[in-house]
Amino acid sequence: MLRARAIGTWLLSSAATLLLISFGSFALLYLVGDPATAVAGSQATLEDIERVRQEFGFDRPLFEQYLDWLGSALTGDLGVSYTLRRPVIAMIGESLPITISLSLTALVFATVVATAVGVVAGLRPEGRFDRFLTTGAVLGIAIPNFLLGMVLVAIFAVWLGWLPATGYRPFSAGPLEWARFMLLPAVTLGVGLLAQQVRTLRSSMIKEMDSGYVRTARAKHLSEPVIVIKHAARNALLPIVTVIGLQMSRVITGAILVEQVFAIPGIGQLTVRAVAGRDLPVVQGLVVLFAATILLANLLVDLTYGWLNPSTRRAR
Amino acid sequence: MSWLPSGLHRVTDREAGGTGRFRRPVLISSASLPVKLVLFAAIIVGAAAILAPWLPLQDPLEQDLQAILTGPTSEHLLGTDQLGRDLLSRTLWGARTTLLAAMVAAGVAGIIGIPAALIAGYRRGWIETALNRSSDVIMTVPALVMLLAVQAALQTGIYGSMVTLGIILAPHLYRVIRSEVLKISNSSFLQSGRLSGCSHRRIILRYVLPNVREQAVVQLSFQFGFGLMVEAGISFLGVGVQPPDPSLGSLLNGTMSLISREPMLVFAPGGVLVLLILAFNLAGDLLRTKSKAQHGE
Repeated sequence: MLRARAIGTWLLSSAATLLLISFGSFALLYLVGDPATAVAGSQATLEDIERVRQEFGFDRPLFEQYLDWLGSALTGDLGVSYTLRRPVIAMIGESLPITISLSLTALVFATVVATAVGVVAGLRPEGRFDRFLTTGAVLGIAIPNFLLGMVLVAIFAVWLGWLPATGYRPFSAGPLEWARFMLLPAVTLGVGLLAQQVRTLRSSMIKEMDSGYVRTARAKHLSEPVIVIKHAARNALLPIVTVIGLQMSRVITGAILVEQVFAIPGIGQLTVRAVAGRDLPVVQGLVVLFAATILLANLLVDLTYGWLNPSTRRAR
Repeated sequence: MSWLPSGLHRVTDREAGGTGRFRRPVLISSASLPVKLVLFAAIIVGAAAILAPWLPLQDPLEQDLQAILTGPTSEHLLGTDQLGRDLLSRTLWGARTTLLAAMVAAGVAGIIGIPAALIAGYRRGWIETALNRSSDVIMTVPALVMLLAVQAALQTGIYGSMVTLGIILAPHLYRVIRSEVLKISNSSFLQSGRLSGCSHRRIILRYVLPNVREQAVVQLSFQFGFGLMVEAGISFLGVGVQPPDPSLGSLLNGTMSLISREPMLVFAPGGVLVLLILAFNLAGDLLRTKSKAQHGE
């Protein structure tokens, strides 16, 4: 019941937000950025541009054009690319799985490593391991991921020659082959996420180890591993859910840059190419897609949080 | 007069947060040695970058095709790039562009975000709801994506992009500062200010603003660091600073294939970039720790 209502509220507010964003970016792209010049290309004469403007209907009122776009978008048609003359939805559909596999691998890598080292670091605050890790986290946050990617390529692909420098192989080409190509990009994208998660985990672990129930457990002579794993760590992991949710925007931004470094044909490359070529329908579709992803991540965080921590469920 | 319950005596501006001379407590001395070293190095490099036009550097655009990818020599301290341009000069000029760009972004974010937060937190009502809602909407689109969309529409230069970035970052600043304003909105010194007939303007500027100033500086420091990262990111993607002009991002663009031949091409601009971002993040952390310690949190 409760969850159904939460989802209902989310649907309404997300739909409103998405409408606002799609209209905002549509206005930006089609009113401020002149689409006729984008379609006609840089060699076009004034007559060419005028012809394109009438042919594509860019001379109609903005709101009419937007309603047109919205109407087709609701049926899954995001228009046709100016440069490749292909449906936008098909182009997104081709590159999206690649980016999802990159992002998920990076997130899993970050969360698994962060959980392990964050919990250990939080056990002995200011200890040697903790200091090492805190310093590492500060560095990990400060290094732009595209720079880290270049350095990793230099070390592991160019100097050591262990891994391929760039490129992508689909999972269907064999899991090993996929992993060989995915390892460097995923680590590159994951390090920044990892650093943020470690910081949160460490401080929440310190807080939990200092709490009353841990003292009680110690008084009962529970063994230290049981206290840490069964009691403290489980509670300390809660804030990670929120952090991962907030990191979605960082994941998307990071994927755009990392795909560029490693020449991975995902959503990021599609975005950069569309922006460089002023392919407005593609840009518009991508903005809406990214916004929807963030909204969905917010919902998932709220639901997971309520499920993991019943005390945050709102009473009726 | 501290024995009087607060609110019974007329609160002076100084007590409300102090409009007196900005007191600068020993901040740096509380930092650990590595942090001090990073901040010191960043100040030196940052100053050299800002002063680049007046330093005896070679022209960052001048090509010398007789001397490409030389590696460090006495003439070119960091070596030359693939077109024989002096890497030291290009790195410092690039850092200058990147720093100025981040300054524009953080400045615009502050000019929009802080007043909006002060007004929303102080006046509440519909204006707060409207500002909250619009900041939620802006924060739904990742900053880089929005920047790229604006770039596709307007094709502005790097400073246009950084003004846009400022607008995108403003909601983050707004959120933090507004919650700081809300924390003190029921405090007795604000009430006594109101009771003694101060105008809203005076209360906001002299009673509220001094209390959120520290947080604002902390946040602006983080945003400055983020601005550096974003400038480097979009110029790396080739939609920010355009070649041949150097910025820390555009210098890294296209050096991937040269990294084995001349690693300095990546490590010089990359190292400066990391150093500067690190310095702004650490400064923000230091200020935050100090402000927390002062308020006994």
